[in-house]
Amino acid sequence: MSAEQHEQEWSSAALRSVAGKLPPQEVRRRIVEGALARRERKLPLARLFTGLALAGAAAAAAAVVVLQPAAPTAPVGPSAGPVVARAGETVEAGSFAVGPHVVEVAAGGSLHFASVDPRAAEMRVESGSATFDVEPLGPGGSFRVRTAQVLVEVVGTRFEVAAEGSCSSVSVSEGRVRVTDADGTRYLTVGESGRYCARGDEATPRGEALVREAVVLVSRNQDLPRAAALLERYRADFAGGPFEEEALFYLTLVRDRLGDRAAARELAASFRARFPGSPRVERLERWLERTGD
Amino acid sequence: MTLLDACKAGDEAAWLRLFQERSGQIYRWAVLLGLGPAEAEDAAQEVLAIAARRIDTCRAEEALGSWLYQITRRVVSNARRSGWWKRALFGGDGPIEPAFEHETHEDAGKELAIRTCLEKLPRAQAEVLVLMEVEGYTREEVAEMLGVPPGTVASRIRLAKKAFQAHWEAQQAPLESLGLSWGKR
Repeated sequence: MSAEQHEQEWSSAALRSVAGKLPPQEVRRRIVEGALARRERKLPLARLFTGLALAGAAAAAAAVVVLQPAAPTAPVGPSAGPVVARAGETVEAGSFAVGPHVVEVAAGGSLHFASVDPRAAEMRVESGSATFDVEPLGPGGSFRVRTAQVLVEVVGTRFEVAAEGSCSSVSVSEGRVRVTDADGTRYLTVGESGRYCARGDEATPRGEALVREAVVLVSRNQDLPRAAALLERYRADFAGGPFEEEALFYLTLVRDRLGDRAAARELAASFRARFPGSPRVERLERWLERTGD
Repeated sequence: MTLLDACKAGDEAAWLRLFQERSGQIYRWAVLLGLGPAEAEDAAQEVLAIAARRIDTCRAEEALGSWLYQITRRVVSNARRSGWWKRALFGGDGPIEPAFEHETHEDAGKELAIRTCLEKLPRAQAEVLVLMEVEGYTREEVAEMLGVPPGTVASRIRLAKKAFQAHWEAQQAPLESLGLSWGKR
């Protein structure tokens, strides 16, 4: 057997080592439960079609009024369904469809649609308040709402965001959202609400650059000591910054990979205390358990 | 009555069994085709939900695996397309968290290294490599699953093995320099 063949056989054997590997039992349970729940739900496309049909009916009714100005007309009431949102548009009070999702802007409110892609929707509440009824997002999907102070990311839910001068408030009526502002990231669940106000010291791009570089190194499994130093620096210079969760999470993994298990455990405990609602808590614990002595 | 027939007939117990039997495999496919653990979990749910809605299009029990794989590759492809902004934000070009259960730290590191190498291959090559080397399908079976001639599969697997080997070797150097590698035997 040639050296090349030998090497290839060896790497093939490595590859086969993941054959038959399964996720933890807990993950399999969640997959089955999630699939059973999703199976029952109406196809998002069907909802979109309904929204379009209603909007089309409203448009057709309006056209009849315009084309027959002389005929006696009955008063036109409010639209029966949500209007399909358009990217780049700023809207005021009304109901708007972003794919299967529905956005209700309250009277006196103003909202800008940055992206109306149902799988990567993004909008900004300029003033007043709006309610968001979000259908379950598919893999990799996102639904983001910004105000001047806060970014709200949906985990599959119904919630309200209001921009009130230099503060914003978020309240959740179904499901759960992830909220990120200058003080960091936290999760709000059913019945919870939060108020987020502007601070003088906004998160700087430098802080983001430190975390970004560290994450690139971690993902490549290269220069882990430097990755640790970058993350430590972020935590020292931008304590409570918007990437605190990422910084603490990756620092824990890096310390563990570098063999500093005591520090990793201490960091994991800090993470659990600081971000108790984060799904990363469970992952960190699993990771440390798995790699434990 | 086969499991497929029972599912088609709306037997809830059969559905539960099918979901339980296939969830791990679909998750593994999603991970090896380039998704992270959380994304793969979500993708596996989506694949099974789609399967439930379209079960009538699955022609035979023997074709169930191949049929599920075809759904999986479409769902994974959509997830990768729509997850571009995360990659753009953090720029990471490789897996960070292990997706499977392992006995040791070394095994977890090995899994990350394998996924990193697969990520670097062209999608078509990675897919063939996973199906043949990891999942153990034959060339003919893979050809049918992907809708390409067996000769194309043979050519892709040859190129894929060579490319995987090159990435594998390149990956060992930095790990060894940090004392993190499990080493070559």
